[in-house]
Amino acid sequence: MKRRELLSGLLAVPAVPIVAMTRPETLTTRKAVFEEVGDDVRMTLALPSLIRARDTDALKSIDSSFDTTLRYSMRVWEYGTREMVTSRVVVVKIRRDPWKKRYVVSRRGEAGWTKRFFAKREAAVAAATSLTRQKIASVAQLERSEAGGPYYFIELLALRNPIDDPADKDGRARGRGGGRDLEWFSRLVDTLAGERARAEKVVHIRTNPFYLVP
Amino acid sequence: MERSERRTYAVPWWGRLWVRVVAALALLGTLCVGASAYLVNLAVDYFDARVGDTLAQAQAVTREVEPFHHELVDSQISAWQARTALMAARFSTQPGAPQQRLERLFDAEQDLVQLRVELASGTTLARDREDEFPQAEFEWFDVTAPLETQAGRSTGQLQAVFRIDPAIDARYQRLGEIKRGLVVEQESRVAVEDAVERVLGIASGLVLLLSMAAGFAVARATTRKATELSRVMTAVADGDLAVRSAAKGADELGQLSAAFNDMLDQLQRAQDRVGYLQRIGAWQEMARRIAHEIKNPLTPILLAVQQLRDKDPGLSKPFSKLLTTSTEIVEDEVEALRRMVSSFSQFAKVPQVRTEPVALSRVLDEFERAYGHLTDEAQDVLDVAKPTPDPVLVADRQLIKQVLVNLVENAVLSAREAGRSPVRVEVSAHVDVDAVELRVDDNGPGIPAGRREAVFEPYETTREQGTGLGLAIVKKVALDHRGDVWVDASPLGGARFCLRLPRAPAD
Repeated sequence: MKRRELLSGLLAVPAVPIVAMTRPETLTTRKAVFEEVGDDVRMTLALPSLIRARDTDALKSIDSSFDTTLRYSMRVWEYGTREMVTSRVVVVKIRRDPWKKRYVVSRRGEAGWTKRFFAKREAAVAAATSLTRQKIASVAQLERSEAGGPYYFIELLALRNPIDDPADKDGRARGRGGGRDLEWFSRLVDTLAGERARAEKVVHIRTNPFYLVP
Repeated sequence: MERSERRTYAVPWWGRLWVRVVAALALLGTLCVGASAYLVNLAVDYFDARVGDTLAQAQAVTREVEPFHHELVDSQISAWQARTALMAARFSTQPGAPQQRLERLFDAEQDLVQLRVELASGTTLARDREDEFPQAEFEWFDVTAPLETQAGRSTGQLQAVFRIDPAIDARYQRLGEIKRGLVVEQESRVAVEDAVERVLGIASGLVLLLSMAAGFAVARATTRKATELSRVMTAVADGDLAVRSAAKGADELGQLSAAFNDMLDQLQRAQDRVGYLQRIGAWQEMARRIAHEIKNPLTPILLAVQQLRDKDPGLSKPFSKLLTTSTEIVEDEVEALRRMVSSFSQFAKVPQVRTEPVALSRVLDEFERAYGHLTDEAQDVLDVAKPTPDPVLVADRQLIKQVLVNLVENAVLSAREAGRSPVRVEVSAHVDVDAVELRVDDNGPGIPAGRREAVFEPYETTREQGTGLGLAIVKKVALDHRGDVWVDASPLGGARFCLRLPRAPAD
C-alpha cells in the first residue's frame, strides 16, 4: 500500500461515523408539490433561502453582472430504504445583463440552456430559486401503489456558486506547490482546517414523501 | 549486605543518573523543538500576512476592474448608437437605389447581424447575417436611428442589430470566478493558519516525544551499565568476589565491565590459590606432626614384638602358634603404619619451588628415562608426545617430573583398580601463547564431574588403596609455579589431568 493511500485511509476513518449518520431521512423536511405530467413526475419547490433579500453581497454580485450559479442536485429515494431510484442535476444562472439592463435567468436542463428575462431583480431571484414543475423522474422508474407505499422523497442539495476543485478543471492534483511531502502537508492542513467551503451557500433538505396513485 | 543496600538505594529517584540524563535530554529537546516551532510560527504569521496583503490587493484589483466592464459596455453601446446614426445619415444622403445603399452599408459593417430600413412609404428593406451569428450562440443588440427628415416629415428609420462579442462577457465571468476564489481564500485564512499551527504543534510534539523516547532508551542503556558497575563494585567492597557485572556491549562502559570481571576472575583465582595453599600448609604441618608422633614408637613396638617371639620357650604349642600369629599381625600393621608415615613425611616435605627456564622436551625426556616402562605388564603402554617447536618453561624441573610421576602413577593405579587391560597412558602438551598445558590421559574409570574439584583436596581419593595425598601435592606444586591443574574427561575413556605452567617470557 502506498503511503498516500494509507494516510488517506487513516484520515478517512474519523469521517466514517459522520457519513454513516448523514442519512437522507435525517435532513430538514420541506414541503414540495408533486405532479404526474405525461410520463414525467415533476416537482415544484421554492428555496428562497438560497438568495435572501437581505443578502446584500449576493444581490450586489448579481447586479455587478457576474453570473450567480445555483446547482440543484436531486436524488429520488425510496422511503424507508437506502435505495436511490434516480438522480439529476439542474444548473441555474442569474445575472444582470449590462447590455440590455435586465435580469437574465438561464437554466440548463435536459434540452440545454433556456433563458428567461426579468425587469425586476426580485422576480428574477424568485424564478432562479424555484424549481417549477421540474422533472425529477420518469413514471416508469417509480412504482405505483395504494397509500400503503412504496413512498418516495427527494433529497435536494442546492449550492450557490459552488467552488469546483481545481483538479476537476485541469486534471491536476490539488496541491500547493510541488513535492509529495508538501502535498501531504496540504492535505493534512485541509483536513484539520475542516472541509473547505464548497459553495457560498448550501441548502440541504429533503421533501415530504409522495407516491404514485394507481 | 546492609552496606550494599544502603549504598544502592540511598540515592533518591530524582538524583539517579538516568533520571538526570533523561531530564536534560527532555529539557534540551523541548528547548530545540520549542524554538523551532516558535520560529516556524513566526514564519507562518509572516507569510500569512504577506498572503493577506496580496489577497487584499488582488481583491482591490478586481474591484477596480469591475467598473471598466460596465464602462466598456456603455461605450460599446454608445459607439453602436453613433454608428447607427451615421449609417442612417449615409443612407439618406448617398446616391442610388435604397436597396443598393442598404447593401453597401451592410457590407461595410462586419459586426452587423441585421440591417433594416423602414421607409415612410411603408417599404421595408433588410439584410442579415443570422446564419453567421445565430442567436443561440451570440447575444444581439439592436439600435434604431431615424432617417433624415424632409420638410419636417420623417422619411423612416434604420435599425441595426449588432453582435455582442462573447469574449467580453467571458473575460468578465472569469474575473467573477477569480473574485469568488479570492473571497474564499480570504475567509479561510484564519482556519488554515490555525490548522497549520496545529499540524506544526502535533508534529513538534511527536518529534519531542520520539526524541525523548530515544533519549530515554539511550540514557537507560548507558546508565544501567554504570548502575550495574556501581552495584558490583559495592558488593566487591563488601567482600563478595563471586559477583560479576552483567553490563555488556562494545562501548567504553562495556569494556570497563569486561575488564572489571576479568580482574575479579583473577582476584578470585588468587584468593582460591592462597586459600588452597593455606589449607595445604595446615595439612602439611599436621602430617608432619602425625608422622613424627607415629614414627617414633613404631621401632620400639617392632623390637618388642620380635623379642616376644624370640623369647617364646615353646612350652605350649597352641600358645606359640597364637604368639606367632599375633606378632605377624602386629608387624604387618606396623609396616602399614610405616608406609603411611612415609607418605605423610613425603607430603609434609614437599620442597620449595626453585624455578628456572627449562625446555619442555628435557623434562619429558628425563621423565621418560626415569619412568622406563609403565608397569610390569608388557602390553601396558606409556606414550609421551613432545611438541614442536619445543617451548621453554619457567619451572622446577625435578618437581615437574615428580608431578608427572604422581599423575601417571595415579592413572595406572586407577586403571588397574578398574580392571583395565592393557593400561594406556598418554602424556602430551598443548602450547599456548603464554603457557603450556601438559595433559595426562588414561583409559581408567575417569572421575565424575561432581568430584573433579574435590580430588585435589588432601586425603580425598577415589582409589581404595590411595592416601589422597598425591594429587594434593600435584596441585600445590602447580600453584607454586603460578600455574593450575584440573581434571576433564579423556578421549581415551578415563580422566585427563591438565597441568598448566607458564612459559618463559623470552620464549
